[in-house]
Amino acid sequence: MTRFTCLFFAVVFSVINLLYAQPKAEFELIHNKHPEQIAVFTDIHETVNISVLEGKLNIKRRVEKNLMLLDDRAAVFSEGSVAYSSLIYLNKIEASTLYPAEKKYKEIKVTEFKDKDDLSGGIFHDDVKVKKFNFPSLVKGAIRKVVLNFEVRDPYMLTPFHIQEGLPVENTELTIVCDEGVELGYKIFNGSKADIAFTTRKESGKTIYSWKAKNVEKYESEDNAPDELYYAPHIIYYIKNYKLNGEKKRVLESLDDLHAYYNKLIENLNTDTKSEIKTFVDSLVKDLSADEAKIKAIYYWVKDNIKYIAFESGYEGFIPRQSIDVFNKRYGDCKDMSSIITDMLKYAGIESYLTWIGSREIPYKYTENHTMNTDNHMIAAVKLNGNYIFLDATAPHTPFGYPSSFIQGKEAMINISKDKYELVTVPVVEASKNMIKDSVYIEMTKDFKIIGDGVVSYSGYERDNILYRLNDSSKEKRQSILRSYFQKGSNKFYLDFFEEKNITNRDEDYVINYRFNISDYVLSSDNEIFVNLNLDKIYDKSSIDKSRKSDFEYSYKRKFYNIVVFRIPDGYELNYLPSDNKYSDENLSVEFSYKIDGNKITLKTIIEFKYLILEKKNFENWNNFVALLKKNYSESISLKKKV
Amino acid sequence: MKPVFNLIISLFICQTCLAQKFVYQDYTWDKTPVAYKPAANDTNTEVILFDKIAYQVSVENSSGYEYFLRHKATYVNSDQAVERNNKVYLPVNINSDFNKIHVRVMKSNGEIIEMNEKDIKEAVDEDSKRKYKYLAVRGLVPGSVVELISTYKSSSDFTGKRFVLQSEYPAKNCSFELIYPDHLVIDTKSFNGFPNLEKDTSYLADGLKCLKASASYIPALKSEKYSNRTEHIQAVAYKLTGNLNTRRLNINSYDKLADIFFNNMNLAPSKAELKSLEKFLAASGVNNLKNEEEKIRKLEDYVKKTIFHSDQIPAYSSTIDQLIEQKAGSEADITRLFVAAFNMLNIEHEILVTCNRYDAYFVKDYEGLNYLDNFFLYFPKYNKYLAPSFVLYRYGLMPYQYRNHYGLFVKKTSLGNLTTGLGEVRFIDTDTYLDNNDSIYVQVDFSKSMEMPEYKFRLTFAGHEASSVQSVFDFIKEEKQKDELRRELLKTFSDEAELENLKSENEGTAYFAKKPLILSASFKSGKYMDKAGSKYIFKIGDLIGPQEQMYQEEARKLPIEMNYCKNYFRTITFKIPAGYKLTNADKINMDVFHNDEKGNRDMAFKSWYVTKNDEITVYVEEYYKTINLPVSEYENFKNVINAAADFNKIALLFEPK
Repeated sequence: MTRFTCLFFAVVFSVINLLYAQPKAEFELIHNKHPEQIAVFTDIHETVNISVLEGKLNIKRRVEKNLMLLDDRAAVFSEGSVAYSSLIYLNKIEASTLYPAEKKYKEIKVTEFKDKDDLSGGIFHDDVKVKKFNFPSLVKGAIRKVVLNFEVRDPYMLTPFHIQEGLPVENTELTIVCDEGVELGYKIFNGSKADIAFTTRKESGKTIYSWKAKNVEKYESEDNAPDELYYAPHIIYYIKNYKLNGEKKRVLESLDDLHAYYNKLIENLNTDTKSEIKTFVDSLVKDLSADEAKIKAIYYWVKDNIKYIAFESGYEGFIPRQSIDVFNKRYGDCKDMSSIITDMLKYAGIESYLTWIGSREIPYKYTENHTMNTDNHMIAAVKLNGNYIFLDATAPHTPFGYPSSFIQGKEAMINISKDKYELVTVPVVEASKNMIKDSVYIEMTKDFKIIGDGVVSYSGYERDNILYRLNDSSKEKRQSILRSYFQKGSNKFYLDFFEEKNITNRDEDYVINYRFNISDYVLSSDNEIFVNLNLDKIYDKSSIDKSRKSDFEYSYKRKFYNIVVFRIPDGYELNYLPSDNKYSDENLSVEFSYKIDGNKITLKTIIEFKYLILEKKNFENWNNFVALLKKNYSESISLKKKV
Repeated sequence: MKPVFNLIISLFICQTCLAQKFVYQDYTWDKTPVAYKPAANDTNTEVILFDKIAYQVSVENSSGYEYFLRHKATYVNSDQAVERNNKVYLPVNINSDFNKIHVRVMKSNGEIIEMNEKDIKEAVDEDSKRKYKYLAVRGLVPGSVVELISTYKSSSDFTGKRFVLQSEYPAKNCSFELIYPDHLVIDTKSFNGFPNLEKDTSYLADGLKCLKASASYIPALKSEKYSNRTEHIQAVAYKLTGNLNTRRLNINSYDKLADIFFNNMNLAPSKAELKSLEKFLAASGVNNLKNEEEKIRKLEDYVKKTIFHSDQIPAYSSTIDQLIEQKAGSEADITRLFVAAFNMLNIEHEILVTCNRYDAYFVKDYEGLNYLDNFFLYFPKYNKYLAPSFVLYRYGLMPYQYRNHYGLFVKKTSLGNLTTGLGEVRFIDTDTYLDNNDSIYVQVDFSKSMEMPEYKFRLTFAGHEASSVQSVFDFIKEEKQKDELRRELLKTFSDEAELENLKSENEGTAYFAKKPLILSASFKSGKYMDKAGSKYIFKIGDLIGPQEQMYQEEARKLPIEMNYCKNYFRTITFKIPAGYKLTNADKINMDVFHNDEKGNRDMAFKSWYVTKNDEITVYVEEYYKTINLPVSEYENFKNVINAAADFNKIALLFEPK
């Protein structure tokens, strides 16, 4: 993923005449309104000034945020930090504590700011810096004030304005002041979640847009929920065009403009013929005739040989590197991997395309938001038998034909040529292609121990997951990881033997043959034994809390197919067999079925999850499904000694 | 700079000596890199082929410096090994021509790729005064050898270092050298089998001394469950102890440091500080209290609830009045506030300086400055500790990571009018097994339903078993969040059942290390019942919650070390349901234990039951009176740990009469 996301800095705020407010009265007012909150934003005000200066767009963002502290431990808010980069540059920062004195607030300014290069996160090198500082004398009733002045150095990189914050907001406002001749576009997302008052007016030739909201609740995030952008109200704004010497200059009037902008970033990419890559590709595909085989060979070579290391300083975050550099260095980020894939395919005589896409954290389609906020990732696309196949080498284990899981269902912008692109939705991989299929044959020994043989296979993203976890672990370590992966019956599951297949062959399921034993699993009385054939009680603890607000998201659709065959021990006969059961709706299905065949009892359990996002309206069905699982999991078979 | 130190630690350096050249200034690699072909049965994905480390201590213009050289070659043979080795970071704390990284890769086919200046990036953190040079290694593929030479010059306060030589991967040909002007006296120590540093005279220029040690092979050392890898890792430590030119010895000795710590903490408060402190104490409410321990607790709670400990603020950067005014400060300044307050209240205390035993294990026979990481206060009259920078901890319980090894205790001593700090290295004992308890009391009622019986649970947590949660309640404002936390604690048992009569006692810092946190609730659940026709299987073993198990472990290398001594106690009471009989109650009886050398039980798991009419009460007792056992006792230790997990497997059978 590129660092586009790094540009969405925490947004900011402002207060007028606060210094002359009555601190005590002000505190009581806010505190009574929010008795259980530790802090509340009293005012947030962002002002964006867009003007034309010296033949260029000049964009300044002033962000002011005032946070009132309502708790005795106000000092937990002491540490302040602001991130910025060369493209969204922090020209000036002011921070202070408004200390609640008797009659008015006393402003104590922060005097020391320290810069830190941000080496954290998945980006190896970028130009993101963090300004760090400490607010002095924070006490209950004090206000923490920050004023940030950013210069947006690329008119395509305007950041969204967030109405909602992690703490309640009393007043929030976005003001955009445009010079005459600057045409602004905007769109409100999730606007129904807040009461937003919009006004526009003209003043001294400038157009002033203003969005205001009051009493905004805090945003509460929940586990496994879609990103907050799907729910929280926010404003996307962009410059459509501006006039320079009477001539209209387009910026982002439509999606065509975004495509044209992106095209400029790639216009010099891989324009020369590189004999080194050509020779290499020739040797890689020399014995292959079908296009699919060639694509696969190249795609897998890139996955195997190009390690993910991202250099994202300034425009490095947006411009893919030349394929020859990637080839020689053996590392790169998503753009670089896309660059080398498309270039290698070119030498193999196959046309392929650089493609921009947003990961699933981003809710927008290009058709509803044609700004750079819609994507954060780059892949390659190739047409095979009339359909596009998406090639994302950042996911090392996924097979050909699978997109990376985090772009499923997203709209891709495929760069056909300088003037042409196609919008295509990336397919969502079906549950049956991400399957764990586990079949075991078990017997009981004379001392009531279960012994068994099994074979388990992992396909698609499930294959990805387990192999990612195992990576290059030693045999001993693999045994312990696998033991935890397919533990059966109880944690007294001993994995006696295992043998892996297809670790590196992405076109086949990852398969493990194994042998195991479980002690203390069978319950015996004088002349009867009880065995619960539900050796894998998956999803038995997954009920969704009634109070949950957000939908439930999972990375991919998936299917579990379990077969347990139990041999009735000599001298015993079946006394009780649980009944079959099943349930199915558009999101879920489950089936438990028992079968007797001679002295063998088989339990087949199939569970399928057919959603990426389980909507809140389906939570009741989900909980009924979990209840059904629990009920079936609690059923044992019983065998009686023959008389 | 560590949070406990300040600039008062002076360098004691002779001002007249001449700068020495870095002996490895022109060090370079052989023209041809080392090739490596692993043996056919070698499954290591990463092997360190050689690792040469050299430090040179130097005095230039009366300032101390350290030069560093590392020359290391690593064979990588998997994608993950490539990913672990394809990024190189070099910390550089001053600008110098010596700050260099050279990296080259030799592929298995002999092709050599050398990195150049253009590959190197730089990053700065003004706050921690850290600067890095870093690069991504080009062309690295499995089967290659990556070779690195890094050198840097850094300012040095001569307080020394501990250098770890052992890693998760096997290493061959490791050497460590320490070079220094011969008028300085340096104290060194090797740990856990790395050879002692010895004088090497092979190449030295005039006026320099060299100490060196080499190991031809250092095995991989991985962390294991219930162990302290740090304590057993091969390492070298050194520090300056004397200067023959100035005839000063015992530099950086604990005696001297104890005095420095004492003086830092006991700086006579200024008038403004005294005034501010008096006001602060009055506001805290200690003045109305008579009992000394209550005063300690009250003051501690007030400090920790109003003054924020920030790692971003440098040590010794504010006076007491400034700290009280600013409401945020460093560990050192907060400790100084405590010391000044206890002095004012006339409460006898000692300053304790130690470290996290999992980061650096404090040993008695080496006065390393690397052990001096965090401040604590010790109250000899009550044999209890206070942890100034641990906001969730309170007097009486010290974070276990800092116990079970040594620490430097500093107490006040007076000779005539002169008051100084007297240092003593003493063992910081762990708490006893009785201090840390986790108990469960359950009543099961089958009278209304066999499939969904009712469970009444009462959980108690004391000592370290409560430390991660008991105080938290005071720092959460929203009632909804408190309720969620309580439910979370019960969830292990209640699964997803609806809780009724949820009650909680002794929440908050006032009870921390004084009274156990108690939670109780009832719920109906099918979780513990399986069914087979008309019979019910009561999975009573699961009622004590999932237990740690060590059934199938990798071969053990490290001795056993647990976090702290503890005991668990559980009772489960139920009536045999009407119309049913119970035939296998004897399964409940278990007794697994470990004996110390004297034959006394020091670890045990025991379960038994008592019947009264139709009512059965099951008792489970588990304890660990010691936390250290040699690796030879591993099997016996495992048996005790696994006994609890075995109890989980116990199921009772209710058959219709």
